[in-house]
Amino acid sequence: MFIKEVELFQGIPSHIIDEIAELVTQESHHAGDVIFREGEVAEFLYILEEGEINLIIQGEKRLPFPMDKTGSVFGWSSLIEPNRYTAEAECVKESKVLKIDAEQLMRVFQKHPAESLTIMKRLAGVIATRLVNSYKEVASRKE
Amino acid sequence: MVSADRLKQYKLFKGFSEEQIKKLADIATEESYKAGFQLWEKGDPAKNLYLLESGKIVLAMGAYMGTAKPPMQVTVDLITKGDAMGWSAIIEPYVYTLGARCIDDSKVIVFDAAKLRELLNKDSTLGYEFMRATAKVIATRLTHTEIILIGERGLSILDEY
Repeated sequence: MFIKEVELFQGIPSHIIDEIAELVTQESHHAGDVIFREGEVAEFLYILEEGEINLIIQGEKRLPFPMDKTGSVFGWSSLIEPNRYTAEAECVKESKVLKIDAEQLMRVFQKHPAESLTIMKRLAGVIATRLVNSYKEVASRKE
Repeated sequence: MVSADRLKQYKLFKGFSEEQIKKLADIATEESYKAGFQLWEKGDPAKNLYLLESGKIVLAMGAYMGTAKPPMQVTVDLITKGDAMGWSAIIEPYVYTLGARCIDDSKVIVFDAAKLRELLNKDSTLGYEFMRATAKVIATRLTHTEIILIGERGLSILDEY
């Protein structure tokens, strides 16, 4: 998968995509692998290339939010203070992910404000979608 | 407009430059509401983003209680002095995702959604900073909601206030 195909980066000029591509590494995981845990320092932004990941929040209950769409973004806490992951990411099956160093990505952002605004808007949208999904979950509780 | 000095106090604008604060202050206005006033309902077009100067506001949703009963109003979050609310004003599809009601007499600083979006698009450095700060507000709201979901805080009903 090419970075420019990722929804988060669509329409971003190729010279900036090239800068971002340099920060990307590819990782393969087995089913059951944990990519990060809740509360860990968040250093990387991830994009799902292939497979399926559960984002799990855990307290008295363990609640998974499944994700299997290619190009899905997770680990956005790496770009937002206090830079701690808010969920655990566990592979449901064999999965390939793209991993981006968040600190270096922020440096690229600072050089290109207009494009960074576009990307940050989409990222805020990703978090908002997760929030709306959690509202739906609350609304369906009949306690 | 409101004074830049007052805007500076808000954690939403932590790290913003004087010039950026000034631009935001120029489009900000102030409003006051009585306890019990409903600022917006879930599903309303998101016309404003707010900062709470004083008072208390609850964000609530209707929870399905079966066909026999009306939906129960469940509070998801409590907004207190210094907090921002109404992030939907700058995130598509620009529709509020919860209802907001004052539970105390409240004073707010108001940013008109259209003016704010125009400013953020025109000044993309400011736009990027503002969007990042807003993403943090959404993330905080998510954390609070997830605390309810995993059972570490029970649901509270709006009538309890």
